[in-house]
Amino acid sequence: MDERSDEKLVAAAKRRQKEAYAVLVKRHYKDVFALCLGILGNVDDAEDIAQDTMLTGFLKITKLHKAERFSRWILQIARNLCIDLLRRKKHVKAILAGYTEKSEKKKQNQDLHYSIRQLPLELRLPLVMYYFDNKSTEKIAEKFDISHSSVCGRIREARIQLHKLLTGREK
Amino acid sequence: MSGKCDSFKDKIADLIGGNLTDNDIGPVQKHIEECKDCAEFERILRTEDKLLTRLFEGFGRDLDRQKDEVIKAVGCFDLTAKDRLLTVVRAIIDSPVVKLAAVAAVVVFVTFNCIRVMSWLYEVERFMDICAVTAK
Repeated sequence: MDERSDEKLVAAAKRRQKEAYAVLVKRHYKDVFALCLGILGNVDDAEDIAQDTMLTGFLKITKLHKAERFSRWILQIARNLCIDLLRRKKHVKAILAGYTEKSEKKKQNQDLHYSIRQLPLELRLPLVMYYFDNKSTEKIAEKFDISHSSVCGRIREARIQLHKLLTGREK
Repeated sequence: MSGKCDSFKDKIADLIGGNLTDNDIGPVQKHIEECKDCAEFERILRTEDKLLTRLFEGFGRDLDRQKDEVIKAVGCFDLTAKDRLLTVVRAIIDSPVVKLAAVAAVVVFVTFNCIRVMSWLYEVERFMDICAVTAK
């Protein structure tokens, strides 16, 4: 594993050294994917957006002035792309609603994955990051610049709400 | 589940997540031993925790392939003429020699201007002296 700091790798990537950016991809892809999964709640969409994010990062890296903030910068790109996708989907849904009768609505999946998607974003995101990031609440707090107790509180609330969603459906 | 149990719910959730302080673990575990409902709640939460861990492990297994795809795609990017020019310019700017030269230029510029200002002040002072003598 390349031990160069993000700062040095970003400087090299700005000079279009692709192998330097490849190291950044290897280092940060997991966080980006977890964030996308947390926001979108869908693995396929998360994969598409996470990959788009890393490619966009490469194209726009010359605009990153504070190289040491690469991690937050790339997560911000991911967040923006996720929000764009959600907006587009909402728009498409609204169009489709005009053509689809209510009775034709698809039956909802009743699995764990579906339940996670039902959680509000502010609870889903830390929960997904928690299970994806080796259960480190400290890291999540650091990444999102929020207090550790707030992360723990949100994960607790997410766990309880998820439990309600799962057991509510079992009845 | 009683009102007392409701207050333990949050703590049981924290216990599963390993976010409970050492002081709280004992009383919570004691309550779980005594209360059937809370013991069941804890058992279900632990099962859900295992399911979530397994679910996300599954998502994580595919990450290496996804990373490789991104790296491959990055490798396919061809630089435009503008990009090449920018790369050269950036390499020049990033070079330590250029940085040193820039610092030296700034120092010379500031020194030169200080000298000019000082000599201008000296001239003004002399002019004032001459004016004072002429006035007398």
